Amino acid sequence: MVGQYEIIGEAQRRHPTEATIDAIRARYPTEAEIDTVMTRKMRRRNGPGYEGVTLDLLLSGIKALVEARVGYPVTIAEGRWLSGGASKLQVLFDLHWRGADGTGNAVDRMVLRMEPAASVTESSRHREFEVLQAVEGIIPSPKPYWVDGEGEFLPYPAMIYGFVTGTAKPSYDSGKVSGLGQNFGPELRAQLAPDFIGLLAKLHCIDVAALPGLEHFQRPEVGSNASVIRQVNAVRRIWEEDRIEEEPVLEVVYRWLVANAPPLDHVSIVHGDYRSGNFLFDEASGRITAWLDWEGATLGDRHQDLTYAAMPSFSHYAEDGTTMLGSGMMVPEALYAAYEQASGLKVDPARLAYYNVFNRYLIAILTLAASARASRIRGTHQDVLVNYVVPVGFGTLAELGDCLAGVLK
Amino acid sequence: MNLDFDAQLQVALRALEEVVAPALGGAEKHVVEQFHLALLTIGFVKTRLPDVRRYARMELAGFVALADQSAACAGDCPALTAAAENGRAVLASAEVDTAEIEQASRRLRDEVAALGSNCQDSAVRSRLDRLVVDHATILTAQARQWAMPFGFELKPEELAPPAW
Repeated sequence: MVGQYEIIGEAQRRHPTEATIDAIRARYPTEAEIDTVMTRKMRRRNGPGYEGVTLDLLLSGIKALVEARVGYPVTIAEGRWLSGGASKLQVLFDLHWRGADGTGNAVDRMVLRMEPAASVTESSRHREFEVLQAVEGIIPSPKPYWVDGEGEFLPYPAMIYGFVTGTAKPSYDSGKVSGLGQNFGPELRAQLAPDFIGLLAKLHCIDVAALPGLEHFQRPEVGSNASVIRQVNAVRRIWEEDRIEEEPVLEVVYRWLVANAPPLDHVSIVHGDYRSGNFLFDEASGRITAWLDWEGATLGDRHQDLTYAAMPSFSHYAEDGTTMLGSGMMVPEALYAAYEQASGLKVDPARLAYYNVFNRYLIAILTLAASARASRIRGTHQDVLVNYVVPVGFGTLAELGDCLAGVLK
Repeated sequence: MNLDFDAQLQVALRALEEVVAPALGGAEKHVVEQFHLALLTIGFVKTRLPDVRRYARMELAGFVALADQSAACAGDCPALTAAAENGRAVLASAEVDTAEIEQASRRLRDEVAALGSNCQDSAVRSRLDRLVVDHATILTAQARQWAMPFGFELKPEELAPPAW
């Protein structure tokens, strides 16, 4: 039965049977492509864990993928590992080919982005590819070229996109892991903030109904909360599949999120991970050069990105020691006001309250469940990093308690 | 015991910090990052290892108390009551190891969540939810204190003091 609480044990999570997987799918129904990705994750648990892949193996996989897509031989050169990010494996390389129009003689720098066996965020390469296509020319972002959505050419599902220049951390700061709580400093902050807000406004104003493609997304309807509940169920399903131990308060939150899901008043492309650490910038000009990590993108409510960007987990205190700057940019109230002005879209306090709870629920589960599980099963190429972010979930649980105090009847 | 864990971790950490780390100057960024995170993780273990049993007992005692309060609120709930009895027995035994203490807590965690979610009386369910939220506030404060060596707290000095 949908939403029915069932106690399942560690053995069922670690080595799930098809019956266990099917029962979880039935209890927490979500979008078809999300269901496919999560079901695949569970089935992998009965196979080997992540085994280190060599650069040569990936470069030969890249060559096979590109040649299959363009239909002629290409050369892959200058391949090397690319650091950064907590969830995906990345390789930088030069592609010698005939160029996008197929008639020239071009060398383009590109990036392979591939899943490990398990991940902080289990996501669809098809969706990431399609959303990058949708924002191309509107939001600075890597140009998507080819996708291997089922791992036909590479060890795991992967995509190839164009390399973009810029840095995620200021040169004078060694930076935080994955950009969490990154402090840009007063001058750079003032330069970056207008782009940070302006691009979010631009993203949310894209006319989704007019966009072609997005085949792996279920399109939501204005006036309905069904898509919101599907999203909540997707997060709840991660908790069911990945948790190490129950946190009863999260079940209270789940029921509240389902019971109080607001209908959409406007459908936006939601980045899903809009925060410091996920954009590149040019330090000299103080301009954002690219938004990265679109794997969590969805079609939904703009308030999801707004509240996410302002979360304390991605914030730091300003120089006065008391002012909390969301994503190292500005205080939440100022961020919302600037966004409203830039987008012309209303910022609704009730929806902010809802998505403040939703995002904390999401982060608590991605850290305390997905990250903890992925590292324990030796599922990634950087288990130590994935494990390191687990305690972020405790701070988020504390914030959830504060949020709930204000909304529980 | 001559080979106590604290000393073993201390010598390993010192070698990694003072000998291996300086030799990584030319290594790739992700190698250096993972090395430093490994150091941090081992440092966390060294700091918390002496307290792990006390922490587990504190957590179990909290869940037994929550179970008792929840049972008093909900009435007949044999699975939760049995889990609470098991928790009390574990707490009273000097022979159980830490894993058994954690297992007793996990059983209680599941049963508390099940009770609230499967409760059909909305008024009772609201009271159960309130108990859970209040308990989570206390326990989460301790979890944050426990995880403090990882360095995520913006104002660690404002955290609740350890209760373990």
